[in-house]
Amino acid sequence: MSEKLIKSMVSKEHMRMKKVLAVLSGLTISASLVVGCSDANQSTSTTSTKSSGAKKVVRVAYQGVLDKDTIDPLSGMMYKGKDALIQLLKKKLPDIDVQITTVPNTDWIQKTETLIKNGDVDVAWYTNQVQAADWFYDDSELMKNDKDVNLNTINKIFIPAALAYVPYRSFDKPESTGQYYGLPIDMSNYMMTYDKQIFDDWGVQPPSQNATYDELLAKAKQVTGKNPKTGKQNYGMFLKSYWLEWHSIGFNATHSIKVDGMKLSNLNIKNDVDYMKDSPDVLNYFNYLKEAMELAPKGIASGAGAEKFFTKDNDIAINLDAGTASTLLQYTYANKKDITDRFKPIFMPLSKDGKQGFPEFHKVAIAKNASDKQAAWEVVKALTTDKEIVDFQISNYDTSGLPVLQDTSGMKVMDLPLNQQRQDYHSKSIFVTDDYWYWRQPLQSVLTDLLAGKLTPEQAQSEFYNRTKKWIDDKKKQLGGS
Amino acid sequence: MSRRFRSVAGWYLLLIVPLLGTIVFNVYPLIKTVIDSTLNMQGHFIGFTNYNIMFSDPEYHQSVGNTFYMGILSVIINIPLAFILANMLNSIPRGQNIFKVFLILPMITSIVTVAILFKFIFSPDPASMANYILSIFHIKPFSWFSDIKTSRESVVMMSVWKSIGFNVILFFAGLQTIPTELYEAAKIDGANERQRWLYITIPCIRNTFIFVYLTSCIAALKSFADVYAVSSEYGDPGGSLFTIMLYIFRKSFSTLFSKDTGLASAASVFLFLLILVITIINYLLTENSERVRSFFKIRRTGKKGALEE
Repeated sequence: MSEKLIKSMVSKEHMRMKKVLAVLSGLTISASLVVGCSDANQSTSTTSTKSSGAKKVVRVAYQGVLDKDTIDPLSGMMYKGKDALIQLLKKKLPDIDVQITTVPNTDWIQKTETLIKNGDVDVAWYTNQVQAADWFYDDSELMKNDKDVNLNTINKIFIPAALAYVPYRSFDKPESTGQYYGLPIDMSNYMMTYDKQIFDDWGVQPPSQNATYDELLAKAKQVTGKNPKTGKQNYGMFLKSYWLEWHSIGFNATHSIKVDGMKLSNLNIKNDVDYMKDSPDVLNYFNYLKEAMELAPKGIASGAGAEKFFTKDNDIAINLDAGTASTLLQYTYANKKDITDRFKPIFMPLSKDGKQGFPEFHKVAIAKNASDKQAAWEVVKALTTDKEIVDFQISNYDTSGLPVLQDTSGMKVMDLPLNQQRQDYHSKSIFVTDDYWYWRQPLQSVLTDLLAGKLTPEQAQSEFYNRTKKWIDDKKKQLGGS
Repeated sequence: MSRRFRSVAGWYLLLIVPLLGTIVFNVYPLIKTVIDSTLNMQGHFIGFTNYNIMFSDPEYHQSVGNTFYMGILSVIINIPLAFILANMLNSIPRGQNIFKVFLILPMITSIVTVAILFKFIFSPDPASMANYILSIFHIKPFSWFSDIKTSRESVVMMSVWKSIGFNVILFFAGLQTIPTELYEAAKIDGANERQRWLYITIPCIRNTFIFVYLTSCIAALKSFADVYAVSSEYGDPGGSLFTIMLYIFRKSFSTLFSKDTGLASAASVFLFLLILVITIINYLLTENSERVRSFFKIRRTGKKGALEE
């Protein structure tokens, strides 16, 4: 074969390859253009189109809403999907076409932020987020002009504790203090749980629903060891670092604060920080946890050890993990007597001033770049103040939640006696403060170290103070000493 | 326009597509992250304050220490083990594909599934699978993931089990490219098996070694999914599984910890630089070892012509 022929063949092969690559590149660019230039108002998981006739369209990003009707494998309960909520909203807001984008629980912050920043939604669900000021529109102006939900009527609609958390307050953004980023749908309520059967096996009187921390520890000590009936090892208590910081309120180790303009320079260092150094309440809190650790299974440092809780093989008497409330309530709604007769709730013990728990409120708010803010406001109002819609949301998407409306008459979730008790207890005792991150984050890391055995209670107290001080100093540096 | 120019221009035009992708999805986010690292939560410029805070943060020190410890341990175990397994695979005459499938299976399994499996195996319960095996040899039970003394090693064991298949396949592919003539010639020359392995196999797959080593180092520094699957955002017990990536995640997206985009960006920029520097050093030490030796020779002797020598 001549050299010329070989060159010509190579060149032809080259050209063919180039054509293939050109076609592939063309396809890639076309696909990118189709995806990138598609209607920004159409999200991938939104089912309906932008407009339906003359109706205004409001797109809602909602964490926790199910795509389809689903049977819960744990309780056997049937939960309604987003179509049922859309139908309900259609009935209440006939002039608005509500479209719902479901946001999964995992990484919901990133997903919600992406939807808001891309302009893909007009209303979004959120909870206790400092970034609310970046995401949402201040509703103050809309509230001024609204005849139903305005600054004069709002205190008659929501319970005081929920109302306290409606105006925005955060050390991170003092300039946004007092702005209204949406309204609350419901509140979380955490409880602890005990296993009645273990107490019966030991012949020990179980703790009361309103037991104090000291009573719980004393009871736990009595039922730690070999079960006299089964011969198996029983653990008096279970605790893990997750949410454990919220028990500090009941121990008076932390308290609520009032800060003018949410400027860190206005924080009362002596009362709200320096006390940590030598407070007997703070030391008592860490000592208590240290004692409780001795009664717990080995894996608590990594949150393990309670895998058998709510099963017939459970070996833990008192579970301090307040997250068990959600599972217990699912069984309660499903009327699973074998579980609810054995596992009973304990309300979070109160501080000296009658406060407890984590103040978590789930809210919906108008996105900063919502296309029709008035229509979005109508949807926010419906989702938060319409009893039927709130009832539907709690029943299907947040079974451990409690309504924050003052008037709960006729709401199905309140038919459950336990919910009535929780509502009474929680609405009166919920911890209200201007900001908690300045002690919460340092305390989380201290508790992690305490549970891993890296710190003694005395060292934990000292570290709690040092880390809180550092958090404040760092934040001041970032904010320019404000 | 000449035919030659048109031909070359066509190739450049085609290269624009991946280049644009790199600019949009890599370069732009990098620049944005660098800018964000100099801003506070209100979006005001604060210079290097976030870096100062980060470098004085004991949690960050802990995350760097954990990342390096687990990274080094992972590379030290993974690469030699993968190489040995690849050699064993290369030595068997039949059924290689069956073994390859078994080695690849953990790799294609979700990290969450792997974590659940290992949490079960490494349960702190004295009756757990791992502790039961230890008890056969009269060794006291460990708390594995739940003890700060063993948690990092346990996670390394888990991630090595999950990722080793990929490296085995890479080494195996490298071994397959070595011409059999080299072995035959060495055999005729009287080289024994160890000598053939040492002087033919290892030098011939040097490039594969370099590739596996560099990618393993980068993956180790970016360790996130494995520790997150085992310990969630906390990095428990006692922060022993708290890596640099977990630090960044916590500051960026966590619902349980206070958000600080500036600090997260500063940590991201530093991690990027760290990986870049380590990769360059590794590259220089492995790819151009001759040049490096010459360079150090110049420095030592001060001779200008040492490189040529």
